[in-house]
Amino acid sequence: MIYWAIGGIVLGGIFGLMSALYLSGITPSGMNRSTPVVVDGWQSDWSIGSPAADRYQKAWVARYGLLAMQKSEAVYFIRSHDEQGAPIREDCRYLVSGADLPAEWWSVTLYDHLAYLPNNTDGHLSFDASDATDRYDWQFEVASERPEDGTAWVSSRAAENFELTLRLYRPNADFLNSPERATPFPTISRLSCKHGGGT
Amino acid sequence: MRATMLAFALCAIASAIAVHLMVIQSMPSFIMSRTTSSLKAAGLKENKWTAAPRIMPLTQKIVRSSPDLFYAVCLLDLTSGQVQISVPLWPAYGSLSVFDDTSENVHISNLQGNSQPLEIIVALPGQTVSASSDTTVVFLPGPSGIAIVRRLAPDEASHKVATELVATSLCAAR
Repeated sequence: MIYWAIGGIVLGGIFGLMSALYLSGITPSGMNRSTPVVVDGWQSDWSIGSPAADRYQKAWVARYGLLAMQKSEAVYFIRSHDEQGAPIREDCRYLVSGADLPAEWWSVTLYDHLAYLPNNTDGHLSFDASDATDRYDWQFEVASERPEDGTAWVSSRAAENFELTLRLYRPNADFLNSPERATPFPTISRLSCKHGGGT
Repeated sequence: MRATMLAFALCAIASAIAVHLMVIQSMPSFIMSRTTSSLKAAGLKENKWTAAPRIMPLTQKIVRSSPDLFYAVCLLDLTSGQVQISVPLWPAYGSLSVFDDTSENVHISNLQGNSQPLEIIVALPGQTVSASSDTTVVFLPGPSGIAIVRRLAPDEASHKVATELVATSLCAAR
């Protein structure tokens, strides 16, 4: 009987471990613990950095948003699809266009699917408010090579499938109360792809 | 045979519940501990500000680090007493945030301005803190945590200025 008991403990332990990892979204195919606030396709989770987050949420945040700040200080929106709903990827070129955003300062940064900066030396991995020549009407291109026409550029080289993170620092109180009423968030329009699929 | 199967089932259920709860409970602390160990391995000392190099693909240690910001980190260790923090303000966006050992953001201060340095004391619950009225007291649930200064420094020149401010900043046991 002792062997059956030990077998039960081992099997139960494995199940307990895997279920914990799945429910906290730690495994690649696990649950997405982000309870989204969605603005124009950009997803955020405003329980990040909040004591209200439950244990599963806290585990997910520790894995994917470690040392994230409270939402009154900063909110993070993530988008991994273009305007047509296709995953954004290294072998395509995209035009990101935006207007005035409801925060003291903002930035858009490119990360790979593991939430790290892609391993390239281009030095163009983000576009922020200080790069926008017109805060009410700005745009930049995301591509693996610098645009020849001089358009502002964020490099996706070595990123494979990637995501863009929009950070709003000290967001307006009105925006936090009613994010759905925000001015339009940036759009991600696919320009072309090396292996087809362009607009 | 029935008793054997019952023992198997009970052990499996009890083990699954125990391991599940233990993993979920300890995951944030485990990840935070690994991050702290990684930072120590990179040369960071406890109760001392360390300026991070400019965030680039080869220097990033933490997911979603921003390449537009200057970061300074102090690993908080309250085992030998409360920790005093003092950091200069910054003309552009800046913040001082304190995280506990589960990565929860327990305090944040605005660093944007041109007046006197920001002062805070980090203490444990129940401790008596003697501090001036303009000093903020932050309580951590445990003896370890991380304080982070973020300053908007999107270019080499502003990052250099922010780095030089670390010499006039304080993070030390009282």
